[in-house]
Amino acid sequence: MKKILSVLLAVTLLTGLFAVTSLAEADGGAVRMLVAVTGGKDAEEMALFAQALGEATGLTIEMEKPADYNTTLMQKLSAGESYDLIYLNADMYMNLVQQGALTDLTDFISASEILTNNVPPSEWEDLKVDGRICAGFNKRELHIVVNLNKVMLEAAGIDYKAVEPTLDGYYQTFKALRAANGSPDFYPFNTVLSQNWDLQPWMSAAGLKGGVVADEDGLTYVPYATDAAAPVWEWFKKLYDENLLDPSSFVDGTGDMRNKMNAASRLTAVDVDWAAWVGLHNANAAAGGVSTQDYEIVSLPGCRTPEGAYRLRKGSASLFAVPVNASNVEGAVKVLEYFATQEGGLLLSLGIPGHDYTVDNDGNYTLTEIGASHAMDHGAPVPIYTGFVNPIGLNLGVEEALTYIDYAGIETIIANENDYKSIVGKWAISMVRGEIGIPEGLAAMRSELVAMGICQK
Amino acid sequence: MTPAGKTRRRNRTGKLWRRVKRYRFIYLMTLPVLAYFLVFSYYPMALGIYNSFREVKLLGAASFAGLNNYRTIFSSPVYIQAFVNTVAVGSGKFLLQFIWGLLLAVLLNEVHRKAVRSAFQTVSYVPYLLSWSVVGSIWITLLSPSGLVNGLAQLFQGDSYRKIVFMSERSHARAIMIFTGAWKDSGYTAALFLAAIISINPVLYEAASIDGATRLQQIRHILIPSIRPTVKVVVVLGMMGLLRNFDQIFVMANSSILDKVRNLLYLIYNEGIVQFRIGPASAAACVVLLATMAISFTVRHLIRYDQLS
Amino acid sequence: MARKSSGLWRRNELTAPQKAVMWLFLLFVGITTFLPMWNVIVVSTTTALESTRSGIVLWWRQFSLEGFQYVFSVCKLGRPFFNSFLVTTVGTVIQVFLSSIAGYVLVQRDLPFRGAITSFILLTMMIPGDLTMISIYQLNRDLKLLNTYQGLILNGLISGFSILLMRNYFESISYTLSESARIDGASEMRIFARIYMPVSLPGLATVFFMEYVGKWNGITIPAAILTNENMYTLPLKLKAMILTTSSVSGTAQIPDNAIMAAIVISAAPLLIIYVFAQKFLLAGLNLGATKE
Repeated sequence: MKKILSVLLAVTLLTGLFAVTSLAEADGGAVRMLVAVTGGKDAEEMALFAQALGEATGLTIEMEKPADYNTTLMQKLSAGESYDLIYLNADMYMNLVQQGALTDLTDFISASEILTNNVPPSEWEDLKVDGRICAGFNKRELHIVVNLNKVMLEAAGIDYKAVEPTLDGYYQTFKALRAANGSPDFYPFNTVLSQNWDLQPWMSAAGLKGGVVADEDGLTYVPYATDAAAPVWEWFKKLYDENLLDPSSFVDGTGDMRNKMNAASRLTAVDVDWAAWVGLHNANAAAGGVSTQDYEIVSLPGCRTPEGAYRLRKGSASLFAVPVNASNVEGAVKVLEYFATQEGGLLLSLGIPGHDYTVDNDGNYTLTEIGASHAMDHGAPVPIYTGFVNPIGLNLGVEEALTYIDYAGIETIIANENDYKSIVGKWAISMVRGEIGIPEGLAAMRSELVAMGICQK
Repeated sequence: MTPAGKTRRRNRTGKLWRRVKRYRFIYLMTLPVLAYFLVFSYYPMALGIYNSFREVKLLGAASFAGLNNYRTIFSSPVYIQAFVNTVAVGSGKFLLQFIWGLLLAVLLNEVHRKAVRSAFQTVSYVPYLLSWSVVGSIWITLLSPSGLVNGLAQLFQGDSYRKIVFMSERSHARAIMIFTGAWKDSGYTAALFLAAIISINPVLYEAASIDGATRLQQIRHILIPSIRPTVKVVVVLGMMGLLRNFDQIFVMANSSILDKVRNLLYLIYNEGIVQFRIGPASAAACVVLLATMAISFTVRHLIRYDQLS
Repeated sequence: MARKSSGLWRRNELTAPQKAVMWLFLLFVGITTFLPMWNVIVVSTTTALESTRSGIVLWWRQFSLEGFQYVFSVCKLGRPFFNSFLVTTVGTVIQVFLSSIAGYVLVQRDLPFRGAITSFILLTMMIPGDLTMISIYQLNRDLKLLNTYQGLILNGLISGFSILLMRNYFESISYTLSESARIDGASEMRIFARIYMPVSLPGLATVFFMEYVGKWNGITIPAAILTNENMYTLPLKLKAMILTTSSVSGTAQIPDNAIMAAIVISAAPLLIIYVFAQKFLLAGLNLGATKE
């Protein structure tokens, strides 16, 4: 027994040595990054990515990618571990700014030509908390559009470009779709109501913005919970009552919704999803041998606001921030600068030159087999650099969806976003199912939002 | 203390010391295990308890907060509600799992063909081997409007049937969590019971059947009393796990039913991991620890399971 | 079970209606378990597009092994599988050894402080993971266990439950036998190795199986101490495959057939071990420790 044990211990000690890696020093010092979505898709590619990023910036890059990002970030920061760049999404950003854990980058950004010129000022504006900016960008956020199955619409005798951009226009469209497809499992419209994903194209008919907004007296409130939103909720209730809204919308996640929308199922004809998903649905169908005669997804910007424009939601930011205990802030800013250039954008989207893609003498870009399986996403499918050009081209339908981006804006970032979503979702479902009247439901929604400290009135 | 008492005491300690000396090698054998628990269980636990009395910032100095974190959680209606949910779903699941497991074990014991019994036992045990992310998504699909359950109901009720969105029915929420929880773990409970059942001396049954007892009577009067020690252990283990049910709720809850099923560990996750508020999260975890200890000690005291005859 | 005469046999049966209820119940349990598992298998062996069909799919429209190919060529599941296999096996073997020692200690009838030691061990079963979430990381960092196999093996190396299981198993072994051996001057190690161990195969196999399952599926510890993808364990890799952050505005996702294939691959070893362990499980799981 003793022998076995000592052999086992020896084995474990030896194998542990694999984990030790050493790094060569570079001029600009070392930058230590904790990343979630950015970088290579496996350990080998991660090393190549760090090397490529290091060569481009003159830094020694060390990248770590935990599997359970939130938990690991919390454990590492509270243990006092020092990183120069950490990946954050918008609500984590708010929480960390509130705790004073992030370095103020405002001066670095205004001093940097690249960061001021290559990134639209409105993007920086969105990150300001009390006038300070404490992060830079990982990627450019796209917006959410109405996705429509063009083939199904044509079967119902509708040209998608002729859909009237009002609640009633979409209602008539859904009714025509229902009449053309009597299958009991088919529903013209599906949306993830439980996380109020994404109501903006419909709420815009009432001119309302999602999230938390401040009124003229500075009091915060949730527009979707006001009485002005009642007509839109009535509309949802009508869709549910008339079997036009998939009842699974109360419980489905985005994955279920997409599965119903895709070429394999075709159980719904209209949903609301990221602009990129228009292209992904089409690309997946093409990869599965389905022609555009049988299946094609197109997009629309939803309902017109009372002012005659449209209103769409842009994704909340995906960011890189510098913790207050970072040792190389200059190096970190250099990385942020590189991410905001064409070359940095190529690295974040196509991937590593020679590994994910090749360029021939005429300047033509070709994805390698590895690169194709990574689908031009190494952290930023669309990089933050305003002038970025993707040399390979976009999936079918994305170009059209991108034309609506000028209508899109972000919601105010709030720290307890999950609570907000689940409270609005809960009362929304109650109202749509008719368990509670719309005015009573909205009043209850408001009072719970206030009780949970999400807004003031 | 009288002189006589002193001598008696000295004798006792002397005897104790002799016994300790006699078992010195046994203590030596335990040492690695105890040291392990000290380092990997008690030390982290002590740090966690320490954190519950501090205001911990992710980076930067933490300050002593006294009972503030505890006050925060005890004054929050969400925590009170989560405690109610935890106990309601936890005890419901335990009861159903207990009955279901016992029933399964007794019935499996009635299946005489070994291959058939083994097949059923394997099948009922498998959900226990799978993680909640697999099991949860399976049940969400089964209970969805286009799922199997609604399909069956429609078959019996005809076209007038309006599909039920089970996972958004607030009145069904806890029952669904209890049922699916018991479904996943009852195969394991059944294995524990079955292990005890097959070790019952068959002579006991024979004697009873000669006395004219039916099979059901035999089960009632011989089988059940014989497995009492296992029942006690299952109860104590169940009590220790009563308040710990994170994965299921995390996978299966959605906003329409969240406030019916959201439990303490779910809140702790949301507070500590998602919003980085370590102080209150640690305090709530301490409350879970204390409550678990209280429940376990009460139950152990009531049924004295680890007392040796 | 001895059922000698046909008369006894008949009386030892349930009545027909009772049997009907019994089979209904068993069938319900069987079907609700089998169908979902079958669904996972079918989806894992279909094409990427087919695998995204919504609802419970119970038969193939198109059979394909591309999901399995995908997880090995694109997701590189080989390395995580090896890591999981290594740390789980080594860790479980050591754990069985240590738990049986601790279990043996706890059956010594008049060992002073036995109650205290038992409570010390049982209490560890009640500590919620959330309480130690932060400190566990610090501990591993200070012990230089981050991103190492040693760390994966050492954390959770012993559990109160496995000790309890061994103790209860040992209690069914005659105590007088070891007493007389002790009087004959046999050392503790010898009594343990020569008297207890040889008759404890079912108990050891049970602890091995139970802990193997726990370690194989474990995710909290690997998630806390690993950031190097070369060290990822299988559940961690699975989690990373399904990972969605709140701002995935259109990342290409891993197809469902590949995810299901990964689930099949991660569950298969446990099923294989279960088939071997089942024989012992019923004897080893007897927590009641009947001493007749």
